[in-house]
Amino acid sequence: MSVSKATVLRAGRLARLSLDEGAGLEDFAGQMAGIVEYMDILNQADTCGVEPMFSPMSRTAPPVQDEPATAGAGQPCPREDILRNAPEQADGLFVVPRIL
Amino acid sequence: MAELYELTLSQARSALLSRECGAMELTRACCARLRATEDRLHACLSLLEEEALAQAKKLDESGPEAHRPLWGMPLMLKDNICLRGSPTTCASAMLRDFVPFYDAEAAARLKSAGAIILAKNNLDEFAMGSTTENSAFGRSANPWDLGKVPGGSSGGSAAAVSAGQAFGALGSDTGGSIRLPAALCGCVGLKPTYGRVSRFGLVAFGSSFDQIGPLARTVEDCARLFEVIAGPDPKDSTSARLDLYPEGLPEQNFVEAAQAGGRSPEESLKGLAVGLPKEFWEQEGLSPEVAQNCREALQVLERAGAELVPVDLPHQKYAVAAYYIMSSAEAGANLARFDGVRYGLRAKAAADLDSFFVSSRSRGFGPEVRRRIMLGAFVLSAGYYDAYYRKAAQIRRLLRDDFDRALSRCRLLAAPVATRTAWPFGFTENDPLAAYKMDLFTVTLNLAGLPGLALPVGLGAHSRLPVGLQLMGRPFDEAALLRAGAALERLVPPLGAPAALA
Repeated sequence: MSVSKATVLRAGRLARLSLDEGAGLEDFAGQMAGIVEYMDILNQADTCGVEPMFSPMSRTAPPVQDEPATAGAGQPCPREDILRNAPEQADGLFVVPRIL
Repeated sequence: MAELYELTLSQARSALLSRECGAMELTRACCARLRATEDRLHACLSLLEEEALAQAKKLDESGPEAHRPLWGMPLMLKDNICLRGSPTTCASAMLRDFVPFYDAEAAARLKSAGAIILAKNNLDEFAMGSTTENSAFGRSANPWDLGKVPGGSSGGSAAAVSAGQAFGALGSDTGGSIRLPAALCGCVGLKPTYGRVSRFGLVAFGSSFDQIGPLARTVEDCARLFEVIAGPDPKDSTSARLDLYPEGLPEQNFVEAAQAGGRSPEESLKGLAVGLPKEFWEQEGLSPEVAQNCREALQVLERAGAELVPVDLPHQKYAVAAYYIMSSAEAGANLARFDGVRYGLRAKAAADLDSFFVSSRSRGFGPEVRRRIMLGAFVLSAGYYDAYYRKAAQIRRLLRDDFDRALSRCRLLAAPVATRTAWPFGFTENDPLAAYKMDLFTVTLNLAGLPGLALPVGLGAHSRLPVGLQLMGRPFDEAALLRAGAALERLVPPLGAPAALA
């Protein structure tokens, strides 16, 4: 299929990415169109009745209790460690722009 | 005697245990080599020299400790593997200031085995690329030719290891990111079976593809690193739990397997069925010099008693398309977490919450990462999901079936790692599709989730640059790859030191 600028803009909206920054919309749309056109090669394959494979894991681990670890590398992390990488924080919380 | 940095990891270990040298001496040798070569290579994004020397000093006070398999060994980590207290940037402006407060499981295992982490290596941003040119902090160069790419995305790790800056490194392989740079830089790289190594603490790109694996200068060195990092981890639900395989997994003694291969190559190769997928060997665009070196390696295998078996992977021609659809979809989902709230770059002064997200993400991510995220959004969006994402997942099943058929007749398969030797900087600039096609020979294995070992088989007759052969195997049968790889390594002439650093 051919990819229009509108399709590219929609993908950008879904991905929360703006196309004004850096490479322009024209370039991006052209490249996306080329890539998607190439991907249409898949239409040549007969996949009728083939079970999709989303993961190469052949054995799935059974569910486990969701209990916090008390020792080792999985032990609970101090709040200040978690907050240390936040661009903005206050009173032990993440700060985001006011929306109301 | 050779300079200390020129030793293999296995030789360095012997030197440490016999007290011919100490951890401090070894670390200093790597630091000196790093200083002598880093200006030209730019293989590292952060240097941990001070911490490394302090740790070496401490180790020397009490060691050597023979029961710790990497005791006193200077190593490096690709900068998408978390290391507590050290920057982990993924070569992205998004994570320029990110300092994790925990170790990736693989990093933790290296540390408890006594390793010294000397630096974090450059990569393509979030591991998306085949050249290391997509790094937000500048590209790395190939130690064999400074005007050429080292391959990617673990290009910094491969360049560093080949140059002797460290005795080994961990990289990650989502679509060839360990094997391709190993081949282009002339070192050895192992992409483990999906589930063999914990992904805990590896910044996620394609969660059903990503695997951490070792790069080193010999097959045995790779086996030593692999044996330390392999094994189940409760913190990664996709790591293979041994209790799920009551019938048992193939041989787990990786170092022994590699040593056996190197010690008695003919014995290891005699009667070994090696499949040659015709779709790789007859690929249009396979450069004559790569074909020649790889075919010579096959002759070596055959002379040593291996049986070469022609096999088919009929769905190989769909691999690149299927891989980029599925891995981009997973990348789009994984990278949704970068919203400027909990970590990563935050744009200043946004009018509302949505433009806050858009502007933080658009500034933080480079062009290739944005392209993949958008591609992922496209193939998962209403109206396109079935035609692209689901279809690619069906192809993935067919490809795995192809492999299972071929590997039921052969213990392993052999093929070139790439269609050509290292290419010049800028070669695929502005043509992302051309760049994606450079992964033609590597993505298939990631779709199938199987293990692969890349090892050098000589210098191209024309380019005089390293050529890599990859051995591909059955699930969890890395030992067979390491045994055969070490045997082949023993039988082909070594590459010698990288030409551009001589």
